[in-house]
Amino acid sequence: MAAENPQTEWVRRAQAGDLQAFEQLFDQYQRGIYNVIYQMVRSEADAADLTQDVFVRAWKALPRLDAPEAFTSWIYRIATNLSRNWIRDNTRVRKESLDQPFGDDEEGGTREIADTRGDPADLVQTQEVQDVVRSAISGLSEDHRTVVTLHHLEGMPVEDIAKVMHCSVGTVKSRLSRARDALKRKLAGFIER
Amino acid sequence: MDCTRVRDLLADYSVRILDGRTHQLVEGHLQLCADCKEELRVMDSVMLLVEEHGTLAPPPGLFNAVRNQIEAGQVTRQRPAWWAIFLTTPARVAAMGMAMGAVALGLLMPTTPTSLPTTLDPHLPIAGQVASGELSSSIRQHAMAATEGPLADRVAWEAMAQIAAQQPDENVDKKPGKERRVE
Repeated sequence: MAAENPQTEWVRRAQAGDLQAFEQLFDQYQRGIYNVIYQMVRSEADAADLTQDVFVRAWKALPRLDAPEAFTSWIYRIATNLSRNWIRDNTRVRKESLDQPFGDDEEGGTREIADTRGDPADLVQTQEVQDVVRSAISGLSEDHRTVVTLHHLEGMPVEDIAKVMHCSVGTVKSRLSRARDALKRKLAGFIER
Repeated sequence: MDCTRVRDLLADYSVRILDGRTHQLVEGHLQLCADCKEELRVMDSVMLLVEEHGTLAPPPGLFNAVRNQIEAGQVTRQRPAWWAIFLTTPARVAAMGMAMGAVALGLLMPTTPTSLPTTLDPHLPIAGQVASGELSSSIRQHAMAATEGPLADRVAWEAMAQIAAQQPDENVDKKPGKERRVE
C-alpha cells in the first residue's frame, strides 16, 4: 500500500483537533495564501489580517472537509472568497487611483507602473525590481492577478486553479494568456535582448 | 502565417490553448523566424522575473494570533453533517456491496414465467378445469397479445383470473399443479 502524502496526514490530524499538525499546514500555505490575498486587496496589513482569518475559518470548517487531499484547492477557495467579500465591503480599494499612496507606507510614495522606456541598467537594486514587478502584477485585473499568483508564484496547476476559481481550465488558460501578454508589455524592457 | 499574427498568438501558444492546426503553424513559424522566437524568449523571461520577484514574504508571527484564538476557545469547530457518514469510503463500499448483492439476488430469485406458448390447445387446462371453447378463445387472444407486450405477465394472470371467476367453484381443482380434465 502506497504511503500517504504527509500533508494529507496533517490534514487528518488537524481535522481531529491536532493544533501542531494545523501549524504545519499553516507553515506550508501561509506564503501562498498571503500573496494571493495581497494581490487581490493590495494592502500588506489587510493581507496579513485576512490570512489569519482564512486559517481561523479553515480550522473551524476542517471537520467538514470530506476529502483531505482536496485541502489545497479548498483553502485557496476560502482565501479568494474572503478576499472578494473584503473587496466588496471596502470599495475604496477599487476606487484607489494610481496617484494615491501605495501600500502601507505612511510617508506615501506613488504606485509605480513600469516605464519600459527607462534604461534597464538603472534598476540594479533587487528591491526596485521587486517593486516594479509587483506594480506590474497589481496593474492586472483581479482575475488575472489571481491566476498569475496561483500559477506563476505558487506553482499551482491550472486544473487546481480552475477548482479554486470555479471556472473551466480553458478560462484559466485564457486568463493566463492575457496576463502574460500584459506583463510582457510592461516588463519586457527589463529583459536583456 | 506572418510575424504580426504569430506575435499576437504567442501568449496563447505559450499556455497551449490554440487549436492543433494553429499551434503547429505557430510552432513551424518559430522554427524559421529568429525574431519571433526571441519574442517568445522575452515572454518566458518576463514570467521568470515575475516568479522570482513577485512574491512577498508574509510578516512573521502570523500563526500566533490564529493559535491564540483557537486556544482561547473563541473558535467553535463545525461538526460534520450527520449524513456525511454516507460519504466516507467504508460507507461507499458497503453501499456498493449491498447494491451488487441486491442485483445478484434479483437475478437468482425464481420468477414467474415471462413467456407463454404462442399456440394454445383449445382445451387448455387452466386451474384444473377444461375451459369452454369460448373461454379458450379468450385466453388465446390474451396470451397472443401478452407474449408481445411489456406487461405480458400481468395480462396473462388477468386472463386466468377472469376464467377462474367465470367457473363454478366446485370445478376448481384443489390440487394445484396437477393437470386433469373434468368430464
